[in-house]
Amino acid sequence: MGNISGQIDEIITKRKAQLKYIESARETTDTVLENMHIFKDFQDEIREHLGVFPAVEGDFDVAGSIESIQTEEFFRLHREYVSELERLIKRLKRDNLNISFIGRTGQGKSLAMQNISGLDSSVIPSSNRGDCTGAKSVITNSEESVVHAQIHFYQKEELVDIVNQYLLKLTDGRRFIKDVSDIPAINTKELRKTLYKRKNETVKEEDWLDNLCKYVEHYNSYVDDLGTTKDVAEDEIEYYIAQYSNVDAKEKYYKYLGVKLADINTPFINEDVGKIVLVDTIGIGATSLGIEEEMLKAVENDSDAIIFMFRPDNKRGRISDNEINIIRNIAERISPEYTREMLFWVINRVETGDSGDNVHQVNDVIQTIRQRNYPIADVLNVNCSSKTEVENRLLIPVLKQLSSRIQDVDKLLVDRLDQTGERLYQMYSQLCQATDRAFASSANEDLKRKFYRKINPTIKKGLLNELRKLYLDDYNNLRQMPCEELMNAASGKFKNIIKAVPTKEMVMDLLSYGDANQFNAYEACTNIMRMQIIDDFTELNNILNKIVERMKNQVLHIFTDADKGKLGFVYPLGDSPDEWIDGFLDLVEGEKKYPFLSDALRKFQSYTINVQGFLIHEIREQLDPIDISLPRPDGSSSVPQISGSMAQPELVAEEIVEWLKTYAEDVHDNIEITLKDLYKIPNRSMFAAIKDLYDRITYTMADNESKIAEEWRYLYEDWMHLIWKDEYQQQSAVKVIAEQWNDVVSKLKEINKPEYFVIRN
Amino acid sequence: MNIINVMMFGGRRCGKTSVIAAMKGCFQDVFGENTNLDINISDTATMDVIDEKSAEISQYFINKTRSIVMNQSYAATQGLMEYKLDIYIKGKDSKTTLNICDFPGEWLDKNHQDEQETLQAKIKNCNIIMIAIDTVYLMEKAANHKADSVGQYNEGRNYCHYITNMVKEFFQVNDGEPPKMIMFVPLKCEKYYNSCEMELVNGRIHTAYKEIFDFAEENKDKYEIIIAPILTLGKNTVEFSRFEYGDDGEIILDTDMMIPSMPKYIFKDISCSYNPKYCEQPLLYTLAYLLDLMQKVKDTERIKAGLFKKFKLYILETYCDLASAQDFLEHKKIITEQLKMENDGYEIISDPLQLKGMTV
Repeated sequence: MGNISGQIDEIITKRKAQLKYIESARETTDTVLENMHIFKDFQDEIREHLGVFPAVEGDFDVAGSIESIQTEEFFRLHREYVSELERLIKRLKRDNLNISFIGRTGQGKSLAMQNISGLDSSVIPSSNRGDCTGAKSVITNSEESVVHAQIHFYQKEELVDIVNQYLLKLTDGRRFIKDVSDIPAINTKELRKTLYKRKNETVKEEDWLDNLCKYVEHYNSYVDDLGTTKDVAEDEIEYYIAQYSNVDAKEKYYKYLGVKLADINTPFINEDVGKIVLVDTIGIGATSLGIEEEMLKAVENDSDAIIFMFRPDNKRGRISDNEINIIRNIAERISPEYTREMLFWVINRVETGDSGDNVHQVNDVIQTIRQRNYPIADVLNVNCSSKTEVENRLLIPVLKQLSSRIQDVDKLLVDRLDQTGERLYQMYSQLCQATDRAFASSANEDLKRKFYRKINPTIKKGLLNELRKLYLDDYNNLRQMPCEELMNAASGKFKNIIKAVPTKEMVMDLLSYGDANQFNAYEACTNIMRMQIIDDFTELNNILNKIVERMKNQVLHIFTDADKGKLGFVYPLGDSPDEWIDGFLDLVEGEKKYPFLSDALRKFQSYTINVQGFLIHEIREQLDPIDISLPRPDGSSSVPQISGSMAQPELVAEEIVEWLKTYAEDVHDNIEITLKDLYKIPNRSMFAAIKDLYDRITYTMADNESKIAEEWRYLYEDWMHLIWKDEYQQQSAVKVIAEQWNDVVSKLKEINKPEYFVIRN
Repeated sequence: MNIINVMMFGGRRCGKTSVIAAMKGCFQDVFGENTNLDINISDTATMDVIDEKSAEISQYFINKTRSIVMNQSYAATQGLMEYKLDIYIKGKDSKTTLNICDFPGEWLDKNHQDEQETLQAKIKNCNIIMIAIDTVYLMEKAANHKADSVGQYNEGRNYCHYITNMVKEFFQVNDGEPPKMIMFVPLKCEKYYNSCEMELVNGRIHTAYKEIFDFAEENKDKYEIIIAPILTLGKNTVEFSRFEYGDDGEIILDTDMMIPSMPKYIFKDISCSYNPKYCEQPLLYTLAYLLDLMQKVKDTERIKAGLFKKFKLYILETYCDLASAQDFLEHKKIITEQLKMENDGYEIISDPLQLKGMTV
């Protein structure tokens, strides 16, 4: 077993350490929900009192606009997110790793579990006589020597739901009960008569009725236990979970009808397997209703690894749609990525027995499974009646996979959750944007005229003039100077040119490779060096990205600052300038409403400098001394003289290194000199970018009119409700709504941040 | 007694002694069949140092390895050294002593005040200053490939500013005195010669010593200024490879001088042989100066002589062996014809001796 149990302990400890992040994310969802409910209540209020908030005469329909903001999809996704979070919390809280056994009835699930747990068929019912397991059970590897079980019974309401499932099905939704005490009064005889009269009566319906009859006829067997938990000894367990005695099938049990879960504790045959739990599910195909859904829930909620049991036989010697559907449904429910790691398809091999062996079918089935690309971790060939095989060919491979991969699977689940969180955040942000738009363009002409005295100076002085100052005072001077950050970063790269010369040991390795001679080794070294140097200089893009981002931030700061362009009130400037442009234009519907302005901002957004554009080709040109495929300018050989013989590889390696260092020095010096002229380019280029933006947002004309000036005015008029919020509220005709609305929206926006929607780890 | 004082100038380890060694290596050629001049080394003991230097250079060619670090084993000049060479016109009473003065480059550092005073006194009496230039430090690690920039370690190695100041302050020519000579001798030029960059070397000397050239421009008639590069090892032999780097990718620096401490040179062709080039030129220029000066001394002596002395000089020059102004002039012509005055970095910047005019 190796150290698997130790590794399982470690996994459980690590899981618990991660729990706090998930729990914190779960708590945050409540805050989000609370704010959304406040918003929803406000919306409902408007909806109910539209008369109180009439559309302002001749103006934009603010109330209608607020009322029409859609929230249903958000609430749906929020529920999904919370449910996934809770499932993950439950998973990480577990003190054990769970292995679920699923499959159709009679495939050997119980047999395999018996051979792991050491329990016999009195505790884990197994039989070939049809449905034998009546209730779901989990079997925990326990340090206690005495076998016992905690039997958890359904709450009365839960049992009512179960019985109603049958009733509703059989009466096409016409009849149902309200209380558990109504069960004895269900007229099953009448139901059977009605069933026989139906033309399209099916075997399934008869089975359902049989099952319903059990609840009715054996009401007294379980009713007193409902809502309780019992601790029972080993010899009693069977009464609660089996449908009939393992000794005498004629002796029927009905207590299982009230059992929700049997939690059995027993020391496993091999106690070293550590903290694992086997989850027994009711066989699919059993006559009870909702079995498959129960199985899928167990897989989704209670499983770390899943064992899907299949026993081919003479009747079912091949994989049928049933098996394929089960695999597909599981993969759909918990994702194919998960099942590829943790779903094991166990083919139960029978070598002897009443119904004969299935060795040939097993081989065919395994071959078929391997040929097809099912989303499973592995297919295992196991004789489930053999303790040794169950341990060696089933338990150990599964535990190995669990101990090595479960943390990645957990990460996968967290990532998936984060994706849902991200989607939820996007939706939330869109909602916030929609709230902003609700008042956009709501000002009437009077109000616009009043605000003109604010709008005009904001555009001309606050924004355009500040931008002009930026390019004139800062960047105009800068463009005459080399970009110091680039220069400093490049100086590190110069050192790397020298460091790129392979060591003597590396050259000796190359010399010892196959039939390489000294010239092949030299050429290989130069090839490596060239690529290394180019790659290294390409990394200067990081610096360029940084300085471009800083410049864009400077520019957009002018757009958004409260004392300058004020557009931060419409859409606040975050960490990324590009994101601001996207978000801003999206919010104000820039492309549609302010096309020239949008075009200018988009061009500015797409502005970038990279070394490939102005530097790399110059560097490449200086690499000629270490490129033997190119002739020397003076026509001499580009391969240097290497005098040592291959019998003295050390001497040859030394010579090669000397030559490489000599040429690396040439490359180094030439690149250094070449780049000196290029360091100004970023500053010059950034100046051009700002100047271009300034020109576009100042002078763009169309049809002999300054369209851009018009667009600026429209933009500030449309969004004055956010830019001059207080003044607007005081003067707006819709101020009845506006005051209350602002409270709701500001609450909503307070948490319009990714950290409220992701798991911070 | 006629004495011409020559002072070697240059920073630490830049190759002052190598210039003298190169000159000595050419004695046989210069004083052989090509001229009717003769030389006598009056103090052979001092020449041992020069022989050691020559031996070091030839040693590089005996046990060749692909790369070498020059000047590593060679000991610095200890104290002020003077090499006295008597020059004659064969068969004539014409002895003139060349007194070549070498000194440790360390003396130019700040903490050698006493020694610098000694040097200043020496310079004042000098006729010729030879400025040895470590060309590698002049050329490498420059800001660009143009003549207007010099290597970033040039000053640390070649002491250009200090030397300039010394020249301007102490190497002055008073009115009526014969012109003096300033000869720039770039050494270790092999790499630049092989890659046809000698004109760039020349240009960068103009940049590095601009103040000397400006000073001479103002005193055109007083200074003969020459740039005379020499290849002490020879064409296509050993050339500069790099200033050796440490593992951190930084050039290894001399912690005291803060200049690269390991200039590495590489044999491009390991089978090459020692093949010095232009090493005779500094000596030829020196001789041209010497002969010019002696010719002028003789002329002056004759002009100033009274009738009797003129007659005596006539008798001594015609019937005895006394060298005449004409003798010196003729030999000056022979020497001048062998002077390299242009290409490969050579240049006569200022020419009061009219050496250029004497070539045919």
